[in-house]
Amino acid sequence: MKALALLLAEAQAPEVRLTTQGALIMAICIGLVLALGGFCMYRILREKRPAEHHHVPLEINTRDTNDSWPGAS
Amino acid sequence: MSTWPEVESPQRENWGSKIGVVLAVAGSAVGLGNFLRFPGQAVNNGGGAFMIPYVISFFVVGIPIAWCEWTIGRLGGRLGQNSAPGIMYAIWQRSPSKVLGALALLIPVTIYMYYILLEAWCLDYCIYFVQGGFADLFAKAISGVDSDTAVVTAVVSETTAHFKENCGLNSHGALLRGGRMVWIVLIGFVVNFFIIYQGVTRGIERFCKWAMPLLILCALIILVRVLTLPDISTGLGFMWNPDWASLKNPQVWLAAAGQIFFSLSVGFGLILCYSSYLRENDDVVLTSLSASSTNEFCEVILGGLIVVPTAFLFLGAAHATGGAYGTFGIGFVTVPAIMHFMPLGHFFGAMWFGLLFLAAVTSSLSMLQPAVAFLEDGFGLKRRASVTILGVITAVGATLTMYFSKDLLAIDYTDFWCNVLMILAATGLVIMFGWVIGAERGVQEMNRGADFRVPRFMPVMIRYVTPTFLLVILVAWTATQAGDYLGGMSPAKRSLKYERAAYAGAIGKHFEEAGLSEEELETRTTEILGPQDSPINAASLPEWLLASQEEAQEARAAGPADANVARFVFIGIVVFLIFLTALSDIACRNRIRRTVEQAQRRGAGLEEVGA
Repeated sequence: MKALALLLAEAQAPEVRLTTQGALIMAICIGLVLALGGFCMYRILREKRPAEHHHVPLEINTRDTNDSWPGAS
Repeated sequence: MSTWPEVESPQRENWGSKIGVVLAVAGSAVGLGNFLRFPGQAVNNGGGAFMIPYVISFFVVGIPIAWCEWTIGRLGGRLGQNSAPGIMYAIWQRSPSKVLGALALLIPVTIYMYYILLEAWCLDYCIYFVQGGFADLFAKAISGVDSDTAVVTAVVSETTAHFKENCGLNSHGALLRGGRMVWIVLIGFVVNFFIIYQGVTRGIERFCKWAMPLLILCALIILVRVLTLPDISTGLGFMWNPDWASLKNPQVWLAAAGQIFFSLSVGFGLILCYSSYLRENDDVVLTSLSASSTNEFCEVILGGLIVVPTAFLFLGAAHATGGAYGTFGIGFVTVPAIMHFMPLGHFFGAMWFGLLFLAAVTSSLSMLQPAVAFLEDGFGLKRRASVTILGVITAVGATLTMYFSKDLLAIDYTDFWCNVLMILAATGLVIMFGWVIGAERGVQEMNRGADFRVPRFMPVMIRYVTPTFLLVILVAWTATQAGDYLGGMSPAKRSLKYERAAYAGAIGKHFEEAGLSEEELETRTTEILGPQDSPINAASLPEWLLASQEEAQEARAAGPADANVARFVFIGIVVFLIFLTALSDIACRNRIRRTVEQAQRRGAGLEEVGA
């Protein structure tokens, strides 16, 4: 009898399904993590390579060499 | 002008790329805690509701400490230092900085001494799955068993017995006698030290650049398998359905803050060392945030959706949280059992333990590098000599941990004291940033080269909020747990605990058919044995319990020996800390001081606010 009562109680116990609240929290947490990760990866990957920064000063004519002046011999 | 001779500055190493440093630091943080500890903590502390204190802790504790540590590390690197004692001394030339530096050296090395064992377990389980060992074990266990519940019980009993025997939980010295595990640990050692020997860029960065994506890819494949299982929503419900009432419990907030703190691996020297290899204007704000977000991806998405939901689906609530062995139970008892029930489980089992091994290796590397950097910076040793010395020290520690393997005693005690020291070190680091460097000046340094600036309230946060939060965690965590650990170091209390556990097992069996809840069983046990911590009166025991008297006496006799192991661990850590503090002091007075002076003469110091 005792075993039967236990089986009945187990059958009547509510099933643990994912509730709306649970699904919402899960979705928000996953969304937050993906948004933060996506933001960081976007900022890292869009950065220009250092070589591009170094390229510009080399093109400046400093006019400190003979051939940089117009008409210099 | 200094009277010291010039020190030949070693060729400074730097990270090769920003993505490389992000993956290396994320690899240092991503470990067994993400995949095994986090789901266990969440499900035991309110399920989905746990995520509220967890997210708050991430922004109040995790991110500010990470930013502070990255900034201090990069500044130390500019002053020619890559080790915690050197970095601390370069910034604050007072005695407390030497202790703080020694702490940041002690914690990673001490953790490595037992972490290598966990790493070896992962590799061993991976190999065992590939060899089909678990398939044979389960086939034997379930032959002749018909009901579903009995199959679950038989499989879990088999994985529990395998874990206890294979990982040496049955007696001290069992692992060293076994042979197999010694070889696996040796393989782990060789892999770690080979990578460390290669250096920061050629070793750590190159390894993490392929290991981390591979690890995440494997976990994603397993995640897809898990989410396509029929009825997985019951498992997800068990893990994520919120119990809002749990938010009133301070223990839940403490657990969430602790999880964030230990998971991000911030504040105790790992990041300090890694960030010292950054260049002067490398971005610490974005890099730090990226590493933390990668860690959170592995923890919340991969850790939160795989193990516990699947364990609940196949094994039920009783086995989903690891039972008596907690996190280790989830990892090494529950997961192998799940794989028996999952389609293609043995393939996924091998993949799962393979990815855990990779995660453990990337974490181990970050524990070794600070000590290697200290030996190089502080004593001018070459890499080969530094790696050899560290190898010998960690081998001695790991052998002791392997020897005292009974009931995970050495691992448990070492982990507890390291955790206390970790919070202490992080508190010291944040106080140093906020009050010694100065929060405003520190934040200005933090923003140097940054892609975006940290929020304006960060100085206030670092000066007041984060240290207060950390002190609360330290006090509450120590108050709730230190009693047990200090009590466990007393032979009398430990004997009593073992004796009580033996009787409690017999009482549980006696009332098995009555279907008592855990609370009712606890009440009955207290009625029969008397209150906790008080001696058991054998004369007053019921007759049916007297049969267990011999077993209880045997258990009681093991108490003093185990209390000695617990005390040995504590004294060992204290002596090691004193030794490292003395070593740091010697290094700081000599070589480190000279290199700092040279760097300062080159104008590498901290700029004043507004400069």
